[in-house]
Amino acid sequence: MRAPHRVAFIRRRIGWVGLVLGALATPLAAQSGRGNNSWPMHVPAQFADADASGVALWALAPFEARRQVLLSAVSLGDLSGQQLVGLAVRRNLAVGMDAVGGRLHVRIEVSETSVEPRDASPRFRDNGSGRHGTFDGIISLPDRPAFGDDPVQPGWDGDDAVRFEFSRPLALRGGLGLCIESVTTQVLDANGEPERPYWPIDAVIPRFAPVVQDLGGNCLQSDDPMPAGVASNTLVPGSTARFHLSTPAGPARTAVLNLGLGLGSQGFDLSGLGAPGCISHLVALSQWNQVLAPLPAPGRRNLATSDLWLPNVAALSLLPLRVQWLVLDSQANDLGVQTSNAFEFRLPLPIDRPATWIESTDPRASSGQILAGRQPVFELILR
Amino acid sequence: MKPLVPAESSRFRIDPDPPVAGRSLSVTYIGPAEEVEYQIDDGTAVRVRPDENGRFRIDPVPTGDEIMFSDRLGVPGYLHSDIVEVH
Repeated sequence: MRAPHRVAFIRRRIGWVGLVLGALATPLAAQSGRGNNSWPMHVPAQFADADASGVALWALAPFEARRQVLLSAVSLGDLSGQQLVGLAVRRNLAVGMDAVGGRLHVRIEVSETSVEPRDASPRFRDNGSGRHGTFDGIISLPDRPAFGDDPVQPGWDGDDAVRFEFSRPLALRGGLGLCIESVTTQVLDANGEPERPYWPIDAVIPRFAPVVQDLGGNCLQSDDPMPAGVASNTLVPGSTARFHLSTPAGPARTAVLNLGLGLGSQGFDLSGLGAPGCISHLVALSQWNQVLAPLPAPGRRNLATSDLWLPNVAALSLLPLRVQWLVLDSQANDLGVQTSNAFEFRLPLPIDRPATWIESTDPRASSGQILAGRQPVFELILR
Repeated sequence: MKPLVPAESSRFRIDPDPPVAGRSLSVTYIGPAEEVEYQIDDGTAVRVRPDENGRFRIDPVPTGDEIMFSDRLGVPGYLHSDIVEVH
């Protein structure tokens, strides 16, 4: 990896004054041990001394974001009478990458919640409120090399862990879950450039594999016969499904996401209406307008996305659902409409999960995407 | 030209950075998507499923001017880079 060059570059840009100020403004010490009266609790417990299944960019990500992680009451047990005084996360052995140091502003608020992970709302305010434990400050993350071929499991007190000690502890009533909210914003260096530390951490990342059947029907000019798709691991009750339409670069156009029920196996051919080659495969129940916009930079592709929250109810699993995009383009054909490929899926039945994750890459957002079952491996520091 | 989406802000990491035509490129993706895509210039978008640790390899990097990666989940899941030619 090129981390040594990047580190040198960052240090040149920050300068010694910036480093000294950063150290003074750092309220956490990643290396600090736990206080004498505190004890750790790891969630999930089975990963206290072993890596979990995945790696995630949580509050230590190089981009700004607002996130919540909901932990179920069952996964915590009875914590009545305890005080939550901080939490920690640590790196995962398997990622095989350097962790790049730098500074971030992180605000963490942890509150008890009666909202179980299966019932998480995309609206942040619905999931946690009231009394909370708080960490709010600039953290300085160290550069850490990639783990070698025969790595030793990193502990929770060393340089491969980051500890957030709360300025205000949370007195726990017990019997409830936790809502761990984090807001990450960037810190500017001496040259006014945002610092971008990169610190992937150990996380539980479940894999879901619902069957998604492509039905065809695309008449968009595309290098891909299936320009429309969905992140299939989001097609589970209690998640936010994210549908996308990705096409070669072109002018921005309106794209309408249609969700509905089947229109036979062959669909309805729109050729006779002035849209040759276009086939509609559904009767729409709902529609959402989006912009099929060029991606930033030179923009070799256009992208439209649409989020759809799937509540955790069994009724949604009863019928197969279909999705298809319509692109409005008066220059494309006489009808002024083109169809993407359509696809059909059936949601699995809802199940309880010990955790869930809600994320928006806008730190000021009021709602985010729900990723069911996903969570960092936490050390909760109790007293 | 300064890219609008710096590599440091992306869910993608590439090694070497920038990529070199004719050589292997290691890509690490850390994000919620199970499948990502990359495209070189105006060529066909290639879909890739990273391994459990988010890694995949492009070997060799084809000749071209630019390469882009996308998880189709928005700007943090997007990376654009020039391709370097070494003679």
